[in-house]
Amino acid sequence: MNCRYVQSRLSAYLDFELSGAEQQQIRNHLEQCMICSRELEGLRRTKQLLRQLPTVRAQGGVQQVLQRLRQESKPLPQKAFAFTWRSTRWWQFAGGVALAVAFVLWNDTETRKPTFASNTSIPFQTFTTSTPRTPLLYEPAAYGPLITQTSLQFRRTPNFAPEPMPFSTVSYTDPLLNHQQLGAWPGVLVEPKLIETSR
Amino acid sequence: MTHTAVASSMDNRLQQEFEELVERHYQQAYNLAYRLTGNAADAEDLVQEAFLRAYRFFDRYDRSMPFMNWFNRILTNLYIDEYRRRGRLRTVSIDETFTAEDGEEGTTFDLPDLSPGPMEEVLSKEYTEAIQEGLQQLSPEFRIAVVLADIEGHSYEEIAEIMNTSIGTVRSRIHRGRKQLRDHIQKRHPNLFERGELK
Repeated sequence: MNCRYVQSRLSAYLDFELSGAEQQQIRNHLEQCMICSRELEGLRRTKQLLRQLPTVRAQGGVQQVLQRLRQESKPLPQKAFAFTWRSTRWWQFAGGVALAVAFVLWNDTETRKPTFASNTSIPFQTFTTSTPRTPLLYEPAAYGPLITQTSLQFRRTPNFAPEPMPFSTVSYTDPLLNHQQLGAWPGVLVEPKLIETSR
Repeated sequence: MTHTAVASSMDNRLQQEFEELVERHYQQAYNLAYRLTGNAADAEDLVQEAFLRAYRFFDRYDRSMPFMNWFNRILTNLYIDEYRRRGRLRTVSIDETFTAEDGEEGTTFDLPDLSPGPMEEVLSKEYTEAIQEGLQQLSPEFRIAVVLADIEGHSYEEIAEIMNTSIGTVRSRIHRGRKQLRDHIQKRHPNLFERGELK
């Protein structure tokens, strides 16, 4: 048993926290070793000083603890969320719901609204070929084309009316109309009408 | 008796039992907290928080274990948490004035009574302060182990349970803590380690 090993066990030896055999081995070593004995004395003195520290007496404090415990025992003072007209939280909640509903409605309208640049998703509301009908201003037929030509003429609802074509154009074809898709569109009531225009 | 009434009666019994434990052990808990923190204000905060935490988990307290072993575990864990959170616990001057919770300005701390009890050997204020200062130099783990062993008088097994670690670790912490403390005190007051010297 060397000094290093013994010195690592000295506090435990001092506290009687070693097994009986180990306690005896260390005692035997200490009887012969002055260095380890001196080390033990320093630790024994430190322990003694700690044990002699006076007990620090609290000035009050118990009542404060008891008071806080009793507060802790009380049920929660109010429901987590209760409706009252004066409740700010209620109005915040209602406002939030209103905003959410408004956003959903607006978003829905936006997605249904056609985009003029789009050729593929033109929603039809009215598609009419009433004859005779009042020609729209932008229809070249109203002003008389310069040359005889067969062209597709149709009427769309005014909401979707494209910009009037320049007068020099001989015929008008709705740029949004995709002829190939036309028949496949649901809700198409009539086929585009062929109008013979001549001068 | 309804289910709620039974529960309420149980709660009252637990609360009453806990309040008795607070009254019985507050002083001892305060002394431990003071030796760990080194000042009255932090000691009081620590004890209060530890009792509140113990109260919250009181239904989990295993009554086969001494209450103070269980409580000291809570207190020391709380101390280490707080120590790490703050880096080091604050040190305040005992002459410092502050504004109390009730708004009263110029309040001073209720100072603990450091005078020894009738059975305690007198250790001068100077030495007491040197020992306390030495304790503050230790790492929190070493300090807790040394204080629990030498001031509270716990066995290594109890300390291992309180600190949730092995007996080997406890042995090492106590030994290294004592050696550091011995070096600190010996450097300032070498006469304390001379044979026969006490005052």
